[in-house]
Amino acid sequence: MEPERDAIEELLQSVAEGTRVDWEGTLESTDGAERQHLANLRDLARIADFHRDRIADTQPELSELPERWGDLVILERLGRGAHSDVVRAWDPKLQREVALKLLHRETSAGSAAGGATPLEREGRAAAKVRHPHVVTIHGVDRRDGRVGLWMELVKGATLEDEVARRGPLPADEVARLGREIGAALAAVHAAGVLHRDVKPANIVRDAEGRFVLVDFGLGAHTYETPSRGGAGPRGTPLYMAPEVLAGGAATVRTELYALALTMRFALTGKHAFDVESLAELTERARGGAPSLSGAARASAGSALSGVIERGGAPDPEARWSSAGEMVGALSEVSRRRARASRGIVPKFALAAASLVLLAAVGAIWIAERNGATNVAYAVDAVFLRHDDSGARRLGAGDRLTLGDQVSLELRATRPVHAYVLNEDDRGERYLLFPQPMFDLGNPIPADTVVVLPGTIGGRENAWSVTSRGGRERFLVVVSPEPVEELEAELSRLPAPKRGRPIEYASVTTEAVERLRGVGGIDEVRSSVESANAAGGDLFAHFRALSGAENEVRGVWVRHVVFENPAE
Amino acid sequence: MEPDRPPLTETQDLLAAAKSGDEGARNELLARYAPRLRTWASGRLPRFARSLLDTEDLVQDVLLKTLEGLDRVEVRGPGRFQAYVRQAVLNRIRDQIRWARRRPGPGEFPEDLHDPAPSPLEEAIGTDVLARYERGFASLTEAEQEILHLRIELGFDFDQIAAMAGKPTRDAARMSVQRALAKLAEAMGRGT
Repeated sequence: MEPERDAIEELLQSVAEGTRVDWEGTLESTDGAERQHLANLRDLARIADFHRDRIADTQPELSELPERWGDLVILERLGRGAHSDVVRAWDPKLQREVALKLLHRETSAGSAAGGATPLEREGRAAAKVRHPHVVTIHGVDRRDGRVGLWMELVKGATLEDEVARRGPLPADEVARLGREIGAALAAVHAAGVLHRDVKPANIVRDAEGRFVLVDFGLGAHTYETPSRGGAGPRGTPLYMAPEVLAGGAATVRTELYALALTMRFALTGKHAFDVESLAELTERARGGAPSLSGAARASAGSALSGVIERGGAPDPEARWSSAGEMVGALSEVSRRRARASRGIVPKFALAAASLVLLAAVGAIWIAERNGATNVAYAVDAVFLRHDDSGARRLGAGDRLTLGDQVSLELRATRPVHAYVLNEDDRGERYLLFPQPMFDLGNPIPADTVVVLPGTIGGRENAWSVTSRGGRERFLVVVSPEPVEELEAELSRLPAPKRGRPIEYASVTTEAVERLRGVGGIDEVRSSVESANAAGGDLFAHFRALSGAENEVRGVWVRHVVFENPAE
Repeated sequence: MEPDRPPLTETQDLLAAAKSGDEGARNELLARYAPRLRTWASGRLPRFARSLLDTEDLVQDVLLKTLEGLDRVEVRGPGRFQAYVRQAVLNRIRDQIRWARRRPGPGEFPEDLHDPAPSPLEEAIGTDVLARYERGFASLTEAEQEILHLRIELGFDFDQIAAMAGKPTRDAARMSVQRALAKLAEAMGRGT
């Protein structure tokens, strides 16, 4: 009986797995009850085949996507191209959702002949790129006969969708887009890789507002090149440089061309070329994009327009030579715009601000006319983190890492004395601002946006995170009058010397305790008490920094904590 | 950058979450079953009975009603939900057939008359085989019904079945399918 039992087990397995069985031969060789049992199994196989075929016919997308790829559990299709699928997947090792780009079986097979495919090679190189504006590639591999590349799932809208929905971006945003994606490309190129498909649909603005370059390292291998297949399934060749359209290879300069045209799209809301066919595009691109319209140029200003036009020059030699060079030019544009706007914008900002702020300003005016001493004023303070692509606003609880540079953007509607204190995890407190060697000192003029710590000898400066682990706490003190306790700490500093590291004043516990008494914290007495009960955590006495506040009287003290994990 | 909650892989977890009002869990349940369930149901519904309510509506309706009445579907173990939905869809199909037969008109025929236009599945395997299949199926435990419904009727693969039916591995899911198949073949008895 044993061999027959094995044969039945095998049949059961075939029926369960849906593999073919020679039922005629199988049934012929048996009889009686066993034959009936096998006939029933055959009927079950037919029922299974019937349903399987119907699913394949009616819902090919269900039957083509595997349930898993290696360890990754496939959750949902995000996009589908002629050569690949992009799916949302769960990575059990990383314990998070990822985006998985999965080449179709035939594409994977067709490229498998000589070991690693170009996609695999390039994907591995790209996985080494770690940059806040480049989607993080977790890995590339061939599993179950399909090549796949899995990466960070960036949640947000693509630039293409955002512009379609909300119209063109303001010029400052376009400059930031250029800086961030330019810095992203610089990092990519430094790893010896090309992105190959920079375009509005491949840039996502995430929940924090940062622009991130996505769909990375796949362009050359999944793009139906126009010389062979027209616009191709992945959308538009509108961002391809003329030399690529003519069949040439992608280079750093073709990527900068694509970035320049992407910035132009963000600025104008329109593609640079309005063409009917690829042949027309190839022809028109050779002559260069039409000049920016007068309105676009007026909104961008000549410097930003110049950066965009140089990047989009039809002659590769006339373009920026590297992403770094282009980012440098954009940073200069942004600095100039910021300087130009500082004189004007605060008043504008004031005029455009909420009624609450206007009421506060009115209150100041009335109070001053009446000679009142306890004058209400408005304070707007926000921490910024800088990387080579520019500055980004930080919120409480955001993460800082070793090497990050931080500054504080501050504006008050009356002249104030500002102090910035830092406390590390050992409880050491330092006075970060003011410092004798900084160009900027107290008092800070009214209605002027200043960035602390500002410059030293004309050169931009920021506070650097020099240790890892724990938290970075900042205390910001703004006062119409000098705060004696902090000024006393300052006076104990050695005289500054150029070329020597800055020596920050250690702030005594008494000084911080005294600040509790001077203002701004009366609303949080309960938390003062609980902090005292917990012991030690002085900064927790003060209210958290939350941006603009309109009705400030006396000394204003706020704290903010950034996570600085040890990794 | 916080990761979302991990995917709820087991139907029991999804059901529990859907019961507690988790819209995401509810949608995931629908998304997971609806397309395959529709295809399966369309194979069970005779063409003549499709006029008023198409299969898509029928399946959607059953699923939504089941989810709305989740409190009444006691989540007492793997298999309950799928077995319940399967039976509910089949009941609705029977109602639909009965309704279509009673419908006045030139095509009217008495209820006991043999169905002149069988369902696509009946066409493919024969009325007798289908009747024995359903009889045998009804004799299985709910867990066995579930696992065969998922594999034979809905075409889920073993990884997914393992996740949905709470089996530790795909091999365990495959073995359960094989055992249930053997039991069903036994229960189908002799053909005429």
